[in-house]
Amino acid sequence: MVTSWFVGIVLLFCLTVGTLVFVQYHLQNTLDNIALSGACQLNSKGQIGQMNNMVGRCRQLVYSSRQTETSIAQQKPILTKLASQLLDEVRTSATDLEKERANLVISSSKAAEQAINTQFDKTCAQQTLVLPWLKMSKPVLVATQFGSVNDVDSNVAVLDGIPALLTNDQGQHIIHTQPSLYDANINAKLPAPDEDLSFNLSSLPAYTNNITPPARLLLPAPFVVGGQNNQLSSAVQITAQIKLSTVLGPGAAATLNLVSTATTFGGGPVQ
Amino acid sequence: MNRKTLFLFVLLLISALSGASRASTTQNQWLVTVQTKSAPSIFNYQGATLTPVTEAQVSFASANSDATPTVYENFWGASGKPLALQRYEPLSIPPGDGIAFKIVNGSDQPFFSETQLAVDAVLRIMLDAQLNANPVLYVSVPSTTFSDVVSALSQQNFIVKDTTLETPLQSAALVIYVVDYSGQMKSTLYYPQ
Repeated sequence: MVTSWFVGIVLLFCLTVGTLVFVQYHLQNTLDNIALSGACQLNSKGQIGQMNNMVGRCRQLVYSSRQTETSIAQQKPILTKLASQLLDEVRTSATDLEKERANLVISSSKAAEQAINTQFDKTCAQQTLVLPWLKMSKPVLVATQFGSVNDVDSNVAVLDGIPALLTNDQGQHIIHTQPSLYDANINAKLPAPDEDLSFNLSSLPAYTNNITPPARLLLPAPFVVGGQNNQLSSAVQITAQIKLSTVLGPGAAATLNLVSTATTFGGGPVQ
Repeated sequence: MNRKTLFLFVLLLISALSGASRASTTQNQWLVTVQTKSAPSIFNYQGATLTPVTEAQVSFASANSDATPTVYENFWGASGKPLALQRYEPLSIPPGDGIAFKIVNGSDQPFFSETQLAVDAVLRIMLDAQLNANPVLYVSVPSTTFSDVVSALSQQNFIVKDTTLETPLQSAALVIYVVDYSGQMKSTLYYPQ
């Protein structure tokens, strides 16, 4: 009799653990898909890579225009007015580009968050489990964080067409040589008197060997929460919570946290 | 008498030939081509304000040879303003050589912003040319965008020289001679000091 009860309890325990493992696996899988689609939404039109490339090249345009204006003032002062006019024009463009980038930081995160919430409501939020002895609440999305992946540079290949700028960038330690890319999550300011302009470069896997790196899931550890320096996000981390409680016998409750992290696809070729 | 005439003729011929030779070494030695196109796939996300993006590729080649043009730099612009630049090579044109510009559009009916970007690129390279003592001979443009080029230069504070009056150009900081491919439409513009 005791043996039968014991076997019954063991079977019940195994059934409970098995069910929980299955539910957790299923929910984790669904959450991964949601994180991945949210990450893809961040860079749905390749805008992060394009913006980084434009920022890097806008920086080169301002530097080049400043060089020309300085040389003209020394060697052909009669043309200083025209050179200054062209310099002012690109300084205004740099400001406009930074405004556009700041708007993109907000709009891309907003669109990704909306996509995540919509998909979560469709696929996760209705899932629940009630056994005679155990109750699992509906999953709740408790956190959506945007950021980047640790140690991933920007997708901007080093621009070496203006040797003086290259030397300046090497001196500032803002470029890597293997591979030859600009650092990520930096404001690559130009020397004075253009140090008032912002040239923010965000993290994104680079286009290499004619391949755009695909979007993928990550372990939570390399995820770096964004928000610093108002950078564009290229990764997302979502956390869902499920509450478990017993229905029969002594009351017990536990919370199950599910975390999923994904990064968006990398930069495309410069068009 | 006949010998004297012949001698004079030979002298004149030599003089004319040497003059032509000098002209060919100082005029139109380099052709800088500015090729524009629209880049609709850049910044085509919802809510983008810096659109449409246009691109201008600048290349140069010796006008006296069939050498392959060297790509000098690429410009990107939006709303007629330059946004970005990627330089590939130095502008290795020897000091003193003449430069002619040619604007080529990617389509028959380009956006005005494409022409604005091309004109902006031409002006920037003209300043480089001035620093390198390269005289700019003319800017050759498609007939369909001739008036757009003149308008874009006017927007950059260039003044069209009145052909009916003998406007003195001594006070000009920079003079640009614009001509269409057929050579029928011409205009001289200058940037005042």
